[in-house]
Amino acid sequence: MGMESQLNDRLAAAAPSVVDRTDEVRRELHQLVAATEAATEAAAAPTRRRFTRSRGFAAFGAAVAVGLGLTASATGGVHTPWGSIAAQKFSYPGPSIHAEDMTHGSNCKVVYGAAGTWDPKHPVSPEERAQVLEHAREFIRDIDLSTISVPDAIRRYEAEHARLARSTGLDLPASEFRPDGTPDDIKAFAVLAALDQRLRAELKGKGLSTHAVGAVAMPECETVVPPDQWSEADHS
Amino acid sequence: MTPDETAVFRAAMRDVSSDLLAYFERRVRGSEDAADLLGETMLQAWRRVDAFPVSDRTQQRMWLFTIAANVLANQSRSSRRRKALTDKLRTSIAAAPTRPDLTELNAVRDAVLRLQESQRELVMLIHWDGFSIAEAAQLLELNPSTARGRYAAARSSLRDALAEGAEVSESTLR
Repeated sequence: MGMESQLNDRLAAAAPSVVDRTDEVRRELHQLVAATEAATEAAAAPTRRRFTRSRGFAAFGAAVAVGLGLTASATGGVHTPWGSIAAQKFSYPGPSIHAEDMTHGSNCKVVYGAAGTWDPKHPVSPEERAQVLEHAREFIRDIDLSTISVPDAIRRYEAEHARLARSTGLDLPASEFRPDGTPDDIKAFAVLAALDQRLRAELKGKGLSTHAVGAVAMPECETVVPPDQWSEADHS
Repeated sequence: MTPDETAVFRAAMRDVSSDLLAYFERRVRGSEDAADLLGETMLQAWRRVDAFPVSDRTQQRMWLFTIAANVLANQSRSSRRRKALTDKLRTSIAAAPTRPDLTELNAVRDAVLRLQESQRELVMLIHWDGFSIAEAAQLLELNPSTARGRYAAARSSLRDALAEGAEVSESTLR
């Protein structure tokens, strides 16, 4: 073996190791693409402002949904790989879902919709996913969110949370959104859980795959900064 | 951007995401931090989607890695949003197994890490991330001939360092 070739081999072999791309890592990588798309959409969306100026962190879009019996995926906003999704806006008056923003005040809302999911254990063809997503999209668009009892949804969500914590022995975060989930976080995810449950029942009833899509939630918050706290950056 | 072009963009992001994650894993201390940087890279990519080179697959990869390189250079920015996005990926990475490193490999890696910064990144991009010299030059915004020169100097330094290391090992054994 020539010296140059030997050096090449030694260099290649010396690459720092990376974590194995397990099914779970691969799935999260795929879902991150959708989640970042949703966050970008949220950031670009026009927001209502209480003050004439507002700090740049206008939207906190995360797309979330997995766990607690759900297998919903992470995306939201307007687009998915299979076209526009139906989205409903469900407004929460009052404090921000970010505790650290509450000193400034904020406006938050949660957008619910449907998005495609990717699960290596249950492969679905793009065609089938597109078909299921179209149906899920229409289904969620037509749901009247006022028919979901928020207190009941929270009770079911918390019961499921407790059951899962007991069965896994894990110290689970209070909500899928943030480890220190605020009541608003929990409310948002409780409604999502209820919505996802309805969606899955609908898909099952129609003989459609429940592994192709899921309900999604995307909280959007606008942090409002009183004028006397504006920084130079706010004026730029 | 048309829906078809957006679909191409998403596919490119999915295809390159694992390599981008590896790129960060090899350059930051914690794998979980790599997940955050990947999240930021994707956010930046979506934000600049109109500049995405839709028709050229090679350039698509280059485009995404260029954003990744910028993100790495600016990693001290506020990370709250990307952390929220990457929480689950961070958890998955923390739970996934890694292969143990061997001493001989560490010697080579140390030699790479001791290179001058301008040479080190070239070697890492070429030998660890699989880029050609020309592509690495593009990512580092270098003239290709400058990159070739730096790469040749890096190889020369590496050969010397590794030969020196071998001599030290032998003399230690004697």
